[in-house]
Amino acid sequence: MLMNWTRWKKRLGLEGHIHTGRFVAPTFALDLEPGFVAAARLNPSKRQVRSVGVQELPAGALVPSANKANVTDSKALRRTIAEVSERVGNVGGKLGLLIPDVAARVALLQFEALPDNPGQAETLVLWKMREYLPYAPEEARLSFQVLAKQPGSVEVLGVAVRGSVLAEYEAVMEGINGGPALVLPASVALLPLLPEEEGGQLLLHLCPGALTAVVVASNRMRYWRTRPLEGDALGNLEEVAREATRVLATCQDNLGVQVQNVWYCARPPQPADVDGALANALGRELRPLLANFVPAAGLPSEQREVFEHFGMPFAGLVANPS
Amino acid sequence: MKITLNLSPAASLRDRLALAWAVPATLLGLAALIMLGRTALQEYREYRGIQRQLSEIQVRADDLRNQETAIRRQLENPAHRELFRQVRFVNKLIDQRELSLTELSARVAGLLPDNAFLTGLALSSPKKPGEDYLVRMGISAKNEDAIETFLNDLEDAPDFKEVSIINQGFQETSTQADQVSVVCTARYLPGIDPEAGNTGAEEPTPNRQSDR
Repeated sequence: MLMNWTRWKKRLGLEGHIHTGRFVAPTFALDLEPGFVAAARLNPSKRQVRSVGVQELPAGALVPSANKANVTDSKALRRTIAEVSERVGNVGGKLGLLIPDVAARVALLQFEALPDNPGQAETLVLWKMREYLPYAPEEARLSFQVLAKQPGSVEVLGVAVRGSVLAEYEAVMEGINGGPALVLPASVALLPLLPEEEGGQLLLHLCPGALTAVVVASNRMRYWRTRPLEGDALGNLEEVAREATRVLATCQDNLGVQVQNVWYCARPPQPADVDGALANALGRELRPLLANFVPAAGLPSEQREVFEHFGMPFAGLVANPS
Repeated sequence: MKITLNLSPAASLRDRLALAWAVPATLLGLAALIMLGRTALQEYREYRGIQRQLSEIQVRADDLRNQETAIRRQLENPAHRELFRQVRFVNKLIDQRELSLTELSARVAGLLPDNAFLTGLALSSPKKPGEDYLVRMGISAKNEDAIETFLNDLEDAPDFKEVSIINQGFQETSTQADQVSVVCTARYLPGIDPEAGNTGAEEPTPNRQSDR
């Protein structure tokens, strides 16, 4: 009788392809963005942020890209991570890593049916995501989530990162709490903070080097777009406003989603000019994205300010039921 | 909106089982290690015992070899060599003295009854080492009883064996009237005390080769 070695190798994790896991609530999280590194100590069971801190990252140390090297100065990045971790107080536990949105590719995919076998389903999702990837699908590390399932229609949210790019981030995290147990694009971590309402919710996440627009309606993601920006938002004010307007129009015209609220999260906080320009362009009020539960109640005032300016993704991590 | 995404690698079966099996595997490994250690210790002790015995045997063999060498050295001494030569000479003389024709004649004559006498005696040396001397005897007597008595005595004698009658003659062939003559052979064993085997008991003579 012949043994099915491939199956056993797959079960034992000896095969080359890496399968991703499910969401796990971290107790310590790091958010790496061009220009800053934020860290937080979390208590997922009490849905609280215990401590938060941010440290400026030297310009050019991190250049997010989907298919090129991201970490250009690993020494500076490691030093910054060490400093902010020391300030926040890393007491071990599961490590969560939030990476820039630009490094990942997110896609909403439609299927008639999805195989029950997770491996086969992953292969199918990856095959369909290939047109969104600027590299070979075999090089991607994929995580996907079924958003809606109806007879003859399965809606899937897929997130892919090039293996070599992710390996850079993981290499920087080496020695910290045994490596990351959770890796997500920063904007994905914001999704649990959006209100579960019938009407469309537009999230604008403005980070150094990128604007991510996400539309969620009836607790289902309907749209995702990450627009890389050259320089800061103030320098690209017109482009940011045009992008936001385009997203709003696309949702209303093409998707038929009436956007009820526009949630805005800019990290670091932008000058009033940027916010005002965006509000004017959209013709909507920009509502700051805040946690509707109070996850940072125990924080000192200086840390609370840091939390409000940088820590919303951490709030999303503790808000997400694991 | 709830998310279940995670780009971190899933813990494989190996990872999940690694921790669960770590303790039993360690205990098993330790048990195996202890068993191996005990076996190795036992084998080492046996090895040491055998090695000690071997050393003792080697020491004894060396002693014996030394003794042999010393004895050889003594024998190779000129004084001892001369003594050795003399001893060999004496032994040779003793060997020669072992067989005396005079003694043989006297011995055969001693076996003859009064009315019988020896007419011939011949002695053949052994052809091969280990063989006995062959004695050929001619006996004359006045009657058959004397011959019978002689032959019986010859058979009973411990220094003679395998008595065979070669020729027996009566009056017609004898040179003298009323005479009985016989020629017989026997193997002679010099150096055996004639008195030693003379028990006086009447025993069968299985080595007798002919009926008279």
